[in-house]
Amino acid sequence: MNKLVIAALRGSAGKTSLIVGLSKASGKSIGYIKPFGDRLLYSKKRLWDYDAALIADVFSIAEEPETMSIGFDHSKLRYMYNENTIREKVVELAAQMSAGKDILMVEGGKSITYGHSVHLDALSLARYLNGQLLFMIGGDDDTILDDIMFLKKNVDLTGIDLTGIIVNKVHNVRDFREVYLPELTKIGVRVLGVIPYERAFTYFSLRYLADKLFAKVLTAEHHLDRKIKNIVIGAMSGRGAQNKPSFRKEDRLIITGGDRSDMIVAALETDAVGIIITNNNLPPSNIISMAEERGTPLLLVNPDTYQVQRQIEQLEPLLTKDDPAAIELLTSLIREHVDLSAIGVS
Amino acid sequence: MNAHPMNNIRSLFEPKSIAVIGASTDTRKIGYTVVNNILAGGYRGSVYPVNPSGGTVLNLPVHRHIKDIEDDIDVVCTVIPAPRVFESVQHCAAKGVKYNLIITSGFSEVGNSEEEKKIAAYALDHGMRIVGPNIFGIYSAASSLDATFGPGNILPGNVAIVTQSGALGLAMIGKTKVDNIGLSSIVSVGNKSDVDEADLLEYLMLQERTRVIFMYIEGIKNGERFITALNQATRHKPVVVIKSGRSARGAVAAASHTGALAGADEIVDAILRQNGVLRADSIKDAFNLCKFLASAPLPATENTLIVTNGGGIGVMATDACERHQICLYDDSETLKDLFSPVTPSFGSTKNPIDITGGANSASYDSALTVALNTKDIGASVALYCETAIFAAADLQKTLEEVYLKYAERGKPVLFVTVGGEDIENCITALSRKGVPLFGDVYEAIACLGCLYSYQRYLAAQSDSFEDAPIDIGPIDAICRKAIKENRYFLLAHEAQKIMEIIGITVPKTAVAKNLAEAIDRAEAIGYPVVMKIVSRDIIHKSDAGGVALDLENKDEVIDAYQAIMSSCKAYNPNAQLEGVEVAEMIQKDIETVVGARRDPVFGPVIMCGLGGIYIEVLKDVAFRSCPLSRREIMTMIKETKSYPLLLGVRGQEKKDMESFISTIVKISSLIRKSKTISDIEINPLMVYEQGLGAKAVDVRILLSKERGKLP
Repeated sequence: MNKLVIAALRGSAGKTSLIVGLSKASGKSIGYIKPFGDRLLYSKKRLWDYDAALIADVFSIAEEPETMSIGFDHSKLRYMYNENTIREKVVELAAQMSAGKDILMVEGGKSITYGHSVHLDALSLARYLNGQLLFMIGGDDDTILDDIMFLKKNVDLTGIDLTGIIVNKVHNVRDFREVYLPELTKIGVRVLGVIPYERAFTYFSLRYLADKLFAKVLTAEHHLDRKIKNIVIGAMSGRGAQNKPSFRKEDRLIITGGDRSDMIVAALETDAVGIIITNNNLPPSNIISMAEERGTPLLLVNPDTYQVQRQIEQLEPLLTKDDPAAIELLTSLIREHVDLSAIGVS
Repeated sequence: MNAHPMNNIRSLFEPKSIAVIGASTDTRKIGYTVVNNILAGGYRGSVYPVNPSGGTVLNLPVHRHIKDIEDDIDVVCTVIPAPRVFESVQHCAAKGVKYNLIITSGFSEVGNSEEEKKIAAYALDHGMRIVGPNIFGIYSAASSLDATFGPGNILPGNVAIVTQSGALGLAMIGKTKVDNIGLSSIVSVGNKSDVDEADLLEYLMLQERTRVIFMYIEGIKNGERFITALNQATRHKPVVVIKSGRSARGAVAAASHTGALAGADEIVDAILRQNGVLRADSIKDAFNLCKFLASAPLPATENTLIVTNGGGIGVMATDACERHQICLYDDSETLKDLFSPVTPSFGSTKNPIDITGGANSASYDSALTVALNTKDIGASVALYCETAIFAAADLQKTLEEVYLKYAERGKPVLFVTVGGEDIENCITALSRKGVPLFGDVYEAIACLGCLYSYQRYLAAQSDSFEDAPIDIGPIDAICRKAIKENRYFLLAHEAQKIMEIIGITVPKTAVAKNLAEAIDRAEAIGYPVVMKIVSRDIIHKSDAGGVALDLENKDEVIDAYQAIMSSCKAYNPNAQLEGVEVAEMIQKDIETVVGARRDPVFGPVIMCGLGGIYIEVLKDVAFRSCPLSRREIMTMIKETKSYPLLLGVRGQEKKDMESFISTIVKISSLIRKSKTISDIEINPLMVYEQGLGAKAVDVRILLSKERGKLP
């Protein structure tokens, strides 16, 4: 059975997407663990990792997502484990989750160093499990090169089966292959795939936004799966807004205050995908009714408009279980641009 | 009330001498009108026109300079252009003038605040009080002084008017005359650079001639002093107030009009009511009320009797009585015994007593005389719909006689007549004689409602203020520590410590700096527990994912700790996370709110009502100024729509009202005694069943930057 440990040098490289794409493309049954969860979800006193929940859903894994991680914060891991006991726990967890599966996907922490002080960084995981290590590296071309060079020259990979590197989010794949790939090959870096940048993966849904902003959904809860492609801050007058080009962009989210009835009405009349109402300022009831009638979700949040905008800027768009089109696109990209046989999943 | 240390306000209303600076021979000028009104009004003191041009005005010699007047001057009216006022004030101060009425405008109401402040400061430094600027002057019946530029011929009487608006004040002079309302005085305070309503109340509340005080207010500057003055004045006589600027737009208009700031109307309204003030919405309502209260004796009992010749108007009056919380005498047996002899067999002896459409003036006289002679009836209302049974002239005569009989016996009576021209003439004629005769039943009953409301207020005045003993030293120490850290809010554990000091129960809590400590604290407190982030950089904990509830065991504590730390780091990567607060998970019951703040205008005010997360949506809260009596606390609680919840609804037990009241008293005492606390809010204050107390679940305390300055 293959045990693939997916690691990254930096956050948001696309590890989970790679796991989903590889697993789908392989057509094999998979088990999954993410020993150090970092995208935690906490609800009704249950704690689990977003990625674990996604994989469990997409691949219909019977085990609960809560059981796929050992901890989510250094404090617990430091409190409960030492280097030996954490190793034992990881091995035990891997054995449980891979039983009866063709491949065990092991997702590392958000960066190469993450979890090192509690012995749960990706390199440690690869060593504990004797797994194949696969690095996912993404960013602009220069960052990708910096990271790969750094990895090659400064990271001690002794005792690790480094299967190779997959480069992600490349804006011009042909250029990358022609200009940089030969150089990397020359210094002995095994690049197993170059995946192009795909804008569709940068969109997130209203539901994801509502969860992340702790928003109260006032209306049209059934339309929370709508994707947001553009964000407009509703600070101008309602009448002025309708004349702005940004107000005509497709699938736009409007952020404005609950006392800005003019702006909310303008957003509703121009079919905004959703509206975030800031400052916990409940709009008048007739406006709420209008939004409900038009099927436009109103999300009520406590922070002010500026803070909400900042929070949204910091959000990373994640793959969601209820987006089969994105998963299909991802799978086809992996099939087309990644050497599956070299990884042993073909 | 603190009397001004410099001189007696009596000199303003009853001056022995008055000078008019800017007196003019030009009949179109205010300087002429003021002198003319003073002379025409029959002022009994000395009058000295002043103008550098000299000559005479209305046969009085004009002094070129105030220093040329040999006599002492009590009051000066200044009617010269604004740029020359300061110099004139200097001369007046040198002369030893007691009060300077600056009629001139062009000061803070148009943004010229600095000049106004300079004038007031100079005058105060030199022992002279300033009224205004931007006023129309003063009328005082006590000295037959009409030093205004109003229409003159003011009808003397026993209603005093204090107005911030000059134009409205002048209009009211004319209107009072039309409505036959006699004035004991009318003063405009204008921009209130020095003398304000509180100063005038000091005189008016004790002046025998004045029976009712009516004030038109736009903005209040020194709220705490104003409240004290009102509280004292209303113990002596009714005070009717129109406070404009209720709406946000109205408040802006008020500010730009007089340069004063209008306070938040909820607070103003609560404070006026708390201090027995009768608030009117319109000039018409206010005049009706003033006229009625100026002559109405206080009823001996709360029972009111209505006599009518028509069913419809009787029902309207009954509805109005309910709205204005007027108790109708309802002892049907006694009513039958008393009124059967004066009611036709086809009439009704139930209150309202229906003496039927066939009633004549004698019928009214008989029924109302029975009511007058019945001890248990505190006030009577006679309703008359015009019929052809008897002439309006008879009606007029009867009503006047009945009124005089009632007045002689000290029992209030009101008349409402509805009809054509004859009836209208009757209303006009009787109104001139001071008979409380109304053309609308709601207006009449509203006046009676105010009379009862005032009487209830007076009855409650023997109550003393509730106060809680507070050891302010340790509280100040906690606040000072926060201020030293440049922090103007208290962390949760600091606020809880203060609650403990003043004896308000808070859930058992402990702060943990790491996971091991959090588990230890939870085990010590006992499950279930609540966990909250402690960070000065995260105020809204829930928004940051910094709160976990109902943790029932160690595993749940471990998961919650991870979730909180991770969420808060993501929410604000720069936040300093000091640990978590582990607290007892409290039992749910009625969620109330008790809050207090030091209002910039009115000083300490307290709020109570329905708490919890919907507080801002439902806004079911009531305000009062501090301190307050136990009765006032109960009135405040009863004012909220959620009051029945505390009594126990749908089979629930009654809640611990005593603990709720005690918390209000303690918070009221804390806000008054602390030098640094500006805002306190307990939300929710969980009030349990009777005997089980109340718990302050979440406490927020803010500190005042101004008052909290460290030496």
